[in-house]
Amino acid sequence: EKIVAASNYKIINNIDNDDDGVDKISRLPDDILVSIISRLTVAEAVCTSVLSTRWRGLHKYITRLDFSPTSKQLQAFKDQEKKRGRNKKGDDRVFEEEVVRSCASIIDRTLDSLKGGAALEEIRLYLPWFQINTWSEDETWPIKRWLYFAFSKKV
Amino acid sequence: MAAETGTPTTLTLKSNDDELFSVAESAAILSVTIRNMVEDGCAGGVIPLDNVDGKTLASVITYMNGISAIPADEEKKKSYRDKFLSDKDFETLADMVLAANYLNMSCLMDAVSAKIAQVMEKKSVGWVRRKFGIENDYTPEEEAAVKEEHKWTFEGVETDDDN
Repeated sequence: EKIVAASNYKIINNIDNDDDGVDKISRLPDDILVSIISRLTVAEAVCTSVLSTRWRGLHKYITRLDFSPTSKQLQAFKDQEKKRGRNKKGDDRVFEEEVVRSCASIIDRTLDSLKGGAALEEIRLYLPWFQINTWSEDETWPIKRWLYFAFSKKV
Repeated sequence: MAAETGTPTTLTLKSNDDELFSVAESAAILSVTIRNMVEDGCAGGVIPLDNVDGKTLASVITYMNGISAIPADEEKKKSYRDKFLSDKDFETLADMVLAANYLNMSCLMDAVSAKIAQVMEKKSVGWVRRKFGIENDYTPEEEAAVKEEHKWTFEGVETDDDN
């Protein structure tokens, strides 16, 4: 009888092929789950609220805010830039400000919804230069506010 | 660090299932919990780690030794971490992140959290539920309400799975 050493069968077992249907992740304590979803973009972290009641509201405690746009949003920005090249001023600027305002309102809403006084480790903002450029002096205030927020959270 | 002569440079760590491990102090102090004990002078004997089992502690010590052997080169440390975590299943990663939290080892905690988060990146809610076996305990009305509340995230998040 021959016993083949287990190491001869190198079955790579890692997290990618490890799904036995048992919910182990939801058993982790809150601070670990928060640490995990802090590595996602803000939109993805907020999405985890829908997974189950266990996950609801955990995103309010994340320690990194990554507002990186999705490729869909990037494409919209790029299209806008292209259009801007072709057309002259006018309506574009109104549209751009709308885009920035909608981004700003998402960022504002997220910052407002954050719970606790925990220090943040990182805030990642994506602000295309051409949009900031079009803001007049008094319109740059949301950025100032975010920076104040960042300083207050010791980023 | 205590600078007295005779300060042991090797520490003995004890897991919650009574396994003993010898580890160089210079590697062990990657754990702020252990470092504080050393600085307070209570690391002379055996250091009991009540929240870590032997299997996990062995793994954590492998990591401590591996990472502390690498000179200050963030790139190399990162590739060591990636390689170290590449063959770990979820249960092992979960044990490690709990241990890293207890031992206050931010670099390991960050790396394992990122590794687990990587699985969820760009995935739909349905996919993540299936992958991790998460049971949706919302009523359809509640789920609709949560989705409505966070509507913008569903418009913004792109997934690369088929839902």
